[in-house]
Amino acid sequence: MDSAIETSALTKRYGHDRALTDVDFSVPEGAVCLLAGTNGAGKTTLLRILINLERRTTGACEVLGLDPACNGAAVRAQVGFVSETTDWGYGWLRVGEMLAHVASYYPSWDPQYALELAQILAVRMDRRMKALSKGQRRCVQIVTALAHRPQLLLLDEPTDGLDPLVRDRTLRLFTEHTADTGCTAVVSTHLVSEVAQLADHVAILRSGAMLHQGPVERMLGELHRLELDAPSGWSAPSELQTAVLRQDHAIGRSPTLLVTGQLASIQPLITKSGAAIRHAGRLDLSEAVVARLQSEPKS
Amino acid sequence: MHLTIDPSQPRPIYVQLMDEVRRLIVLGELESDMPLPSVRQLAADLRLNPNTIVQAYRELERAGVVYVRRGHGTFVSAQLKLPEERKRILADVVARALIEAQRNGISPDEFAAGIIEATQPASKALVKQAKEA
Repeated sequence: MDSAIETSALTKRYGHDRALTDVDFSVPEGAVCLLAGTNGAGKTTLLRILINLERRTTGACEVLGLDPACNGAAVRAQVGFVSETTDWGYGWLRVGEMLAHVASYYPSWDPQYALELAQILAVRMDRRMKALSKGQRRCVQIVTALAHRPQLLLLDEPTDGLDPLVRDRTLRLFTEHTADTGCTAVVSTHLVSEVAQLADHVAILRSGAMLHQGPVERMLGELHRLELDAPSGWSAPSELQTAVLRQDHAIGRSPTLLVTGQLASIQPLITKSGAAIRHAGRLDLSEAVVARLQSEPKS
Repeated sequence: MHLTIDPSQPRPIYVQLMDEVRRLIVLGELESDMPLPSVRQLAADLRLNPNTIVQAYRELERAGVVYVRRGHGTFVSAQLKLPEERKRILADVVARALIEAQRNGISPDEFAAGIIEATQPASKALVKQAKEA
């Protein structure tokens, strides 16, 4: 399968600060990729580099087969983008004028579809941009991101500031768009549970480095929550240390371990240490992302 | 027709979706040759990745539960073996309950005895009803 996004050794420095370090980010065509990470991990910087709103310091980057640093406008014309900030300027423009202005950048803009989207999201065309609340400005962004039926959606905290009803409608619109166009999407969000059903790929950034990426099913298949029957004072054997992401404090005598790897190779080590697995369970996507973020940095 | 998907459940979502379709068939909500919702509609209704639904439908087709008519959609299989489907669902429910029992330190024998005890008043009431009728 071809990649919609492919970066290698992508690095971004602001003076002496490194925002991104050697990031290899790959999203196959047609995937919906959750981009997760701690605050300040570089998610927004990464998304902005992909459409050349920021320039990379070093490394390579290809989006829809083009290098955004050389073909910024051509890439942006095929990308639906919801930026993290809703502060656009153009406060004096009415929403309808704003949409007409944005439309001129996109050859494939569908004015009829734009009107439908605006209606679904309760966007009023006669309001001035400066009079809109954060959530309403976000809705205008969502209209502009979808109305040209892009092949690639880059969504940076797309539901931040939206009320529960509009949030639900927005998720429905994104889902319909994905089903209709087979487009690729990258969604950066702190609300993992919101996109847990939509995402089939996941990428986790920590302190500017790519901590983990790949299909969601693979990540969930590699993580296990083990409830153990263990003698008192038991602790994980040293052979297991690399596999254990977290050991929860035992209540009574059954410690719980979060481990990564193949269960078949972990089980004998547990048995050898004098404990038995009472129950092995899977994590959901939110738990898995937190478990990955909590794990000790590799030295 | 109502499908319930719980993303916090440990089972993969496409497996949950397959089980839900099977459940609706066994309950009689879905009958032979009835169409399943389109991928787009179900994806939008459940806010699910369309590929997940494609995967679930494909697996159901492989299992002979549904068939695909090109350009028309996905339909419930005509030669569905209902008793076998019921057995499958029973096995799933039992397996889930046994895991829950095990987590609570209840042995399979204890659990089976508990089930019989819990259902006896109900079966007695049924027998009584049958006699009265």
